[in-house]
Amino acid sequence: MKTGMTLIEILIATSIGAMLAAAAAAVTLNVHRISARNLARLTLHDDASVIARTLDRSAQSCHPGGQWRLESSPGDDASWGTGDEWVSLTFLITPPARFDRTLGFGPEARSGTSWFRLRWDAAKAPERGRLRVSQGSALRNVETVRAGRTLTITQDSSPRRDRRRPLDDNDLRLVPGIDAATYTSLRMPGDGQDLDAYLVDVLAPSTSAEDFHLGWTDRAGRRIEWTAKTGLSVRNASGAAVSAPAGDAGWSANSIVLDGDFLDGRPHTLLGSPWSSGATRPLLLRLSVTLVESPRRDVPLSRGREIGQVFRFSFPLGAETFTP
Amino acid sequence: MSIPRRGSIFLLVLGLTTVAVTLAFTFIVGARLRREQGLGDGASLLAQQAARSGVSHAIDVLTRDFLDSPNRAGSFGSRWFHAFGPIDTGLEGKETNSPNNDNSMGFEDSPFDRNENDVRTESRLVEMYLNDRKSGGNYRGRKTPFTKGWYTSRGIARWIEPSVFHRDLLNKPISFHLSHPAPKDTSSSDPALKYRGENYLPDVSQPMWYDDHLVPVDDRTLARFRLRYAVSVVDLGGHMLSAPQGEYVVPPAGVATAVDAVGAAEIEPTLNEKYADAFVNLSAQSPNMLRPWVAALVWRGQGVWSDNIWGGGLGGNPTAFPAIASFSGTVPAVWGDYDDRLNVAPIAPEPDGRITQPIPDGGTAAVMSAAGRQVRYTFDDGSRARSWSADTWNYLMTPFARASRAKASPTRFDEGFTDVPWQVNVLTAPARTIASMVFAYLPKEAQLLKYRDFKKSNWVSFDPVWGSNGWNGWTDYTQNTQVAHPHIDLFSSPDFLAKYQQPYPGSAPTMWAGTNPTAANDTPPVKPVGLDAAKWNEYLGGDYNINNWWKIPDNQMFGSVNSPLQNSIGRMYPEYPNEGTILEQPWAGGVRIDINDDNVGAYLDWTSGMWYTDSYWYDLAQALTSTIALTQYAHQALDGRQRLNDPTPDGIPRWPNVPGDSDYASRAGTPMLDTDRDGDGVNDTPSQLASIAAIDRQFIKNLGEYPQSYSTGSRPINPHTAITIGRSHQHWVQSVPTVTVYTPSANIKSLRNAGKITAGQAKLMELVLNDLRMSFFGASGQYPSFAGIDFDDDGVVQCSGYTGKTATAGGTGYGPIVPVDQRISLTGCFVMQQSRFFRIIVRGQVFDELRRYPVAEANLETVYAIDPSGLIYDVNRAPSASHDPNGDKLHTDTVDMSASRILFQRWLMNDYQGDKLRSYP
Repeated sequence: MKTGMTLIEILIATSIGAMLAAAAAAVTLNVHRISARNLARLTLHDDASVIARTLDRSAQSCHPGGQWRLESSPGDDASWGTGDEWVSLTFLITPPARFDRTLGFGPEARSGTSWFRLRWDAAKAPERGRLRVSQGSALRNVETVRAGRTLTITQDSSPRRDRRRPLDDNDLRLVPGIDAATYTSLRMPGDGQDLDAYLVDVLAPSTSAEDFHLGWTDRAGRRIEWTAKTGLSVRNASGAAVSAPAGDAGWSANSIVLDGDFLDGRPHTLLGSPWSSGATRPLLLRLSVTLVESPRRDVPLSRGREIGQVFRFSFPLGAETFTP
Repeated sequence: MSIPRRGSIFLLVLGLTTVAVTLAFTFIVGARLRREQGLGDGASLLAQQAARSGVSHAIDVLTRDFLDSPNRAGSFGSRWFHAFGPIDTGLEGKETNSPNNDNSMGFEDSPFDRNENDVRTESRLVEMYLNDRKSGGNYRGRKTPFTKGWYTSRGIARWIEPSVFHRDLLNKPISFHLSHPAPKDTSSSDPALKYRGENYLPDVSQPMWYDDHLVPVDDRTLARFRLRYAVSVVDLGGHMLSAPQGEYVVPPAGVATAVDAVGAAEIEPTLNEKYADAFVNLSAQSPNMLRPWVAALVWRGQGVWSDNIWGGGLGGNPTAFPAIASFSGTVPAVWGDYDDRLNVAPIAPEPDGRITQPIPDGGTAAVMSAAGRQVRYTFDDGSRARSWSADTWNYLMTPFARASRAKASPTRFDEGFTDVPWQVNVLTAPARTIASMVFAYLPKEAQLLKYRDFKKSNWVSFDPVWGSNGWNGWTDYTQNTQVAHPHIDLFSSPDFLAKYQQPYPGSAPTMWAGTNPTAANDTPPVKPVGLDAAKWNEYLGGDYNINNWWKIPDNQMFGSVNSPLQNSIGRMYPEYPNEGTILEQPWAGGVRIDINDDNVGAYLDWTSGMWYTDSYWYDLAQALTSTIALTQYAHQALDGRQRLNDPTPDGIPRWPNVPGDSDYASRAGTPMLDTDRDGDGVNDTPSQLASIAAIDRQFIKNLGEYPQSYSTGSRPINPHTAITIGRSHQHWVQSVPTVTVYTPSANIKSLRNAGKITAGQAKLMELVLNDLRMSFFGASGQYPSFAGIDFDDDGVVQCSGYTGKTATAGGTGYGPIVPVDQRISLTGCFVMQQSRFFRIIVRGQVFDELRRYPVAEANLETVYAIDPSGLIYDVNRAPSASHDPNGDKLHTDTVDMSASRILFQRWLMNDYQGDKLRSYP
């Protein structure tokens, strides 16, 4: 009775084993790649989720009584779609207030309002497009020594309704009696500078924001859209292109700045513009972005391809839309 | 052999099984986590949706109430007020009229709302009214504790299910636990059945019930979760405008001036300048607003700042706005001018604040802020005596109001005969608003403790109004001085000096010299304004004695929140009430009171106060506030809801018998307010308190004066019968107020006739009375017929509205109608109009029926304006051509309700919202 295996059996078994091992290796490696891709996709969705949460909360808090500012630039080359564009959207929000201080843990926010800024910067490969947000501080200070004594000056966010009002005019420039030398030496940042100084990334370090579209629909049904490829455009409810009102300093080729409503609901008279704030205030904020996840270097046999997905968002602007 | 092979197979099977189980378990865990996360997220979103539903419901009620209310002013009888009020706890606890047997409204552990129809007391939303109570209230005799009744805000009182309610929210509430219809059953222990019954169906029934997986279900018995919301609506028309918003004024290049700063802050410059001092006074009327200089910053749109982070105290000098700073160092620092602090050249001219002395302070940090115009004032921790109460501020001041415009013939709701920014709806004004207006108007002498020996081992600081009387230090001392809270004499302010001129009562020492007291140390700046022992308008049962200088009997209580002593003591000593203080009148026979642990409550507590009760100003304030309380009480008749054992048989306040008053002849027992209760379009009864002129008329009578027409020489001497109100003026409080008829002890003519005052003093009193009427009533666009009255019956009417301040009395004893362009108001006037600006706070919840507990919650605050352009009703509440009771014109053209909108909205959360300091080099 033979107790061993024939050569054929051994060869067949070895072949089968090799085939199984190869298949297992392939499966394993593919699973790893799939895992990496899925991880990348999950990262993209996490990033998208962060965008949604951040903007949704801010959009719901949008204060109709504040300015609405879209500012952009085609970059140094003055051409759109070349990878050096940027756009920022700034509006006044009413951050959630602590409801019951008996259950709270610290001082309440001092200001009823704060500024919010969303900024996208294009980039040429291999740099990544950055999407950042910032919220104005209600408590910022500078210290200086005057007459041998230390003086601390504290500044809060300042609401602004009129579109002509600069975002940085609460940098002490309007303090009665202040002279140029004192003003310069104090260097108190205004709200705009404060926003820029504390911009933080929304996306994961490995994620790039590309092909950015930003726009809104206003109360009159106009659709305002900004894209990195074409810049700013305005269309009416019928889809026809609309030119900026003549003489309206709030509208330009690269920016739109809108008035806020009066807090007593009085009607508006826009200087040099046939449009009132009652018609120009945004109702629905729209955003479209292609999020691109770079390949991970720690994943073996990665094919080096980026994972990209287009995300589109619509955010109703809180109180702006909530009318009976 | 085959054994190894079998074993291999076994091991293989075992391994595969392990893998399968692991995968399955992982899948299950993942699915469960995902589901739980999904449920949590879903519940949060549903709670937000519930809150939004509540806002929609509130706006629906507000809009309908507005459109349905031609000729009716917003009041506590309006539907928007009572619709969202409690139902079960509102019925319970009315078994007796004993003030000691009040039952609680939403009080914790209350047995009367076991079914969770009502929300437990939300103290945060009504804290301002709680403060009123704590500080004695501002209406005569209000004593009912906050937890035992409803005040001018009901907080978030009652749960409603989204899309499951009856539109008659007041009379047909829907209890969650009942299957409708549910007949009344007096034998039931369930209050909803015992006292009310709900024998009807909801006329809106699109329930949102959910099963365990948050999947909607149609059957309540299958529902695990359901949505609910509770709504609080506050009429901002009863609050006071702060920092009137103006057009942006582009500041010129170069060195800014104060005017530049105001214009650049989008503040209306004319109103801002003219009424800044009045705003300081308005803000001073609270122990929680102890540093009214900060008010100057708020008023000028420069924002506010708090000491709760740095220490050092609130303070500042309005002369130096917007900068307030103190310095670290070994020498006690002072608050000072901004130019001084920055060592820059002072601006010229500086703002016209007349308070120039720096406030002593031991601050160790420097603070300056220009927070800007606020939509909400949340900036303190509320725990320090020297900080402001954000909630008090919220419920007194508001940026959401229309500043009035001066018009010769007012037609719109926001037009009046003056440009005073504060046109207050008298029917919904909280007590604090009324008190602030009245006390801000009075001269500071009326709120002055004239003499005092003060001995206290503590650090003290007096207001710079009195300059050298301030001191600081940590040593014992005794010093004769006087105390008054920061207060600017508006009559002598540059903005109004030309109108009132000097001397004016309260600032005319020679007029009243020697009246009382006469001690040698009665030295300037003491300015007697009293009438010696005239017992002016003594309330029957009052217990006047010298102790009234320190403590006013409860039935004379007026509001210690405004008493100078409390303000000053409270400001000096955060631990107030303070023991160890000696109060002494240092003239012969003067009373000395040593405040100690045993008696501190008797002399210095929150429910009594210091008031110069012998002053005519005291009588004016008493008569005015009691008249307004009576008016608000009368208008609650519109609620039309009977309370258990309410002595008013149907919840309708009725007139008492008022002997000797022709206005009330045959009126005893009739409803106070003329309302068209039977719906035939005709008022059921004539009314006494349905117009500003009518309130003025009652105010005059409450002073013992006669508003009726009398030719010169025939005006009666005996004081007119008056009506006042005891206890709470809100009849839904179990301790039902008592409408009291009494006769004041004197009027101007009787005093003059008895020789207690001179002819000159009588003229001056008449001037004071007519001017006060003009400021609070005559400035209203609803009172074009306002005229001065010859109260002293000498044929000449004294009123600052007349050229030369006098006019000849006509055959009726009235002077001519005061020219509308000469009317003036210092601290605001009253109107009775439809309410247009509301603050709505909604709490939305997802309620777990299984655990009987809310599993998710969202709170939403909203400010809503109805017809802010005033196109629907005119200044007198009459409907305009745009009025459409059916609402068909909504959003259809430019002359309809399309201007209505939400002005402000925010979520209220328990998130940590502390401020993170950002330091710049």
